[in-house]
Amino acid sequence: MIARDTSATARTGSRASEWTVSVAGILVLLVAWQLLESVLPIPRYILPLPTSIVQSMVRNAGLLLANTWPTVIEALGGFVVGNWVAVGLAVMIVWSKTLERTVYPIAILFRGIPIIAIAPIMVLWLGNGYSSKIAIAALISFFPTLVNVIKGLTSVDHQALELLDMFSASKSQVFRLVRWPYAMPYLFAALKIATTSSVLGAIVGEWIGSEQGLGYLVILATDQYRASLLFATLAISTVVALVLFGLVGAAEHVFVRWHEETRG
Amino acid sequence: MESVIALDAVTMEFRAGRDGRRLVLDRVTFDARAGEFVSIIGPSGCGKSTLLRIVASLLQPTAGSVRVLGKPPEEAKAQRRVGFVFQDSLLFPWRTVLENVWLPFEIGHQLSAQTRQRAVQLLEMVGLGGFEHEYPYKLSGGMRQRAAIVRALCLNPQILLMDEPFGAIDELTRERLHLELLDICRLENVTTLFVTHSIPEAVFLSDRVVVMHTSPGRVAGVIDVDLPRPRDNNVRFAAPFQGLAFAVKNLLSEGAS
Ligand SMILES: Nc1ncnc2c1ncn2[C@@H]1O[C@H](COP(=O)(O)OP(=O)(O)O)[C@@H](O)[C@H]1O
Ligand SMILES: [Mg+2]
Repeated sequence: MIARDTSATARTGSRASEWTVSVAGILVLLVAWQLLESVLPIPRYILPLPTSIVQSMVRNAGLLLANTWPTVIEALGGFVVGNWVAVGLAVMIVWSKTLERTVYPIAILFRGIPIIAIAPIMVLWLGNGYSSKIAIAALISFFPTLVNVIKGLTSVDHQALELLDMFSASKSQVFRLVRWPYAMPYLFAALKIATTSSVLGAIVGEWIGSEQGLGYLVILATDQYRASLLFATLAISTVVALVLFGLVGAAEHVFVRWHEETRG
Repeated sequence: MESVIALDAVTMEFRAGRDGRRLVLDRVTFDARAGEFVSIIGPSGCGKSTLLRIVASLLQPTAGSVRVLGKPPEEAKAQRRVGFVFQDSLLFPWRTVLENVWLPFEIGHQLSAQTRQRAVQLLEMVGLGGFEHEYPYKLSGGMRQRAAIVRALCLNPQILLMDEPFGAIDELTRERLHLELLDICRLENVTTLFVTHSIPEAVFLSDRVVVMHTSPGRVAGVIDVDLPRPRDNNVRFAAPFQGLAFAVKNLLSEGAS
């Protein structure tokens, strides 16, 4: 037990120092950017200084915040809707051979359509409000999750199914007791992808038609040649995606701890 | 004595290639009587696992008759009279040892203080007392296989089918597991079919050894092991044991030539 405790401390210790290294790396990059740009003849309206981006963030804090919430709502809404439907459909497809033969090929076909090309249609159908952006973010999250969860549900060891058969387990017990836990690591891998892509979906939707959101702000800042504001908006978008990613990672840590430990 | 497992001319063909068929088991006939320990030994690919799956009703034979406890095997399975232990312990990594072991109770909606107690007692019996709440990755291969055996036995099956359960376990641990297995089979009063490709393992454990040849898989002969019970590890060094092992080896190698 003592040995285990020290190793756990060592692990958290090394994790903390990994973080320090990553943050230091980013800081070094920013400082280098600042210094290089002070020397090199790069116009500020093409690439603003990091310090002026920070200044712009402070100066436009109200504007940025007001436009962050819509994007967060759209991305989160799309994330929840898209993944929820994907998981439900994945379970149904694995459950029923008929659905596997009918619905799955259609889903794969739709996956081939570039989402960016669907975005204007969504705005056309659903209007300029939240729902069109949620729909785009949902569509973009949907396919990786569908494919991954199907893969997870069917990745179950054949012998594990035979084992449950020996205990006369019902189909729903097989799903609940074996397939679902097996699929969890696959689900979380897909959810992590979906965090960044749902933010992307929301922003793309805002480009096409919106009076608010970070995507709208990107267009606005570009039109008005406000490079610092543009970069500040990009930074905020990145933070939003990273926070979502972090939340999913934390949930994974809670729900699929066994997977990390099995891999050592 | 009555036959608990009876196979009569069991034949199994698998589809191979586009419209080819491959004969994997050719008219396999043998039986196991109540409380008997019968090993099946044969070269890799001779159909031992297939045979065990047929007895477990995980596969249907192409021809021939199988009776388990005097019934069709699917009935015996449905009544949960048959336990199966695989080469891989198949403990689920997201469940503790105890949760893994009581899985069959959970599936049968039989989880109660009483059944939990039975799971704990069986774990203690195989020396896993104190490990109930550990996750499988903390256990050695031998301990995992003990847990898998306990899981197969906790529903009180009358028949235990084991498919090379100790194949991946080091020799010293394996010899201890042999003694424990014989004890537990006697106490639980099960009839055991045990697949192996180790001659000493087959002889040490069994009342009878069914020797198989391959291509197609068939029974070459059955060797009676009349060594007294209970057996201890010293038996392995005595002349009768060596003689029986030699007999099994000879019968096996007839098929290889
Ligand atoms: N489901 C299956 N479909 C087709 N061929 C199979 C199947 N299961 C086993 N076989 C073939 O049957 C033969 C016997 O396999 P198996 O029973 O696993 O042998 P053993 O356990 O003695 O090594 C092998 O050649 C294997 O490839
Ligand atoms: Mg085998």
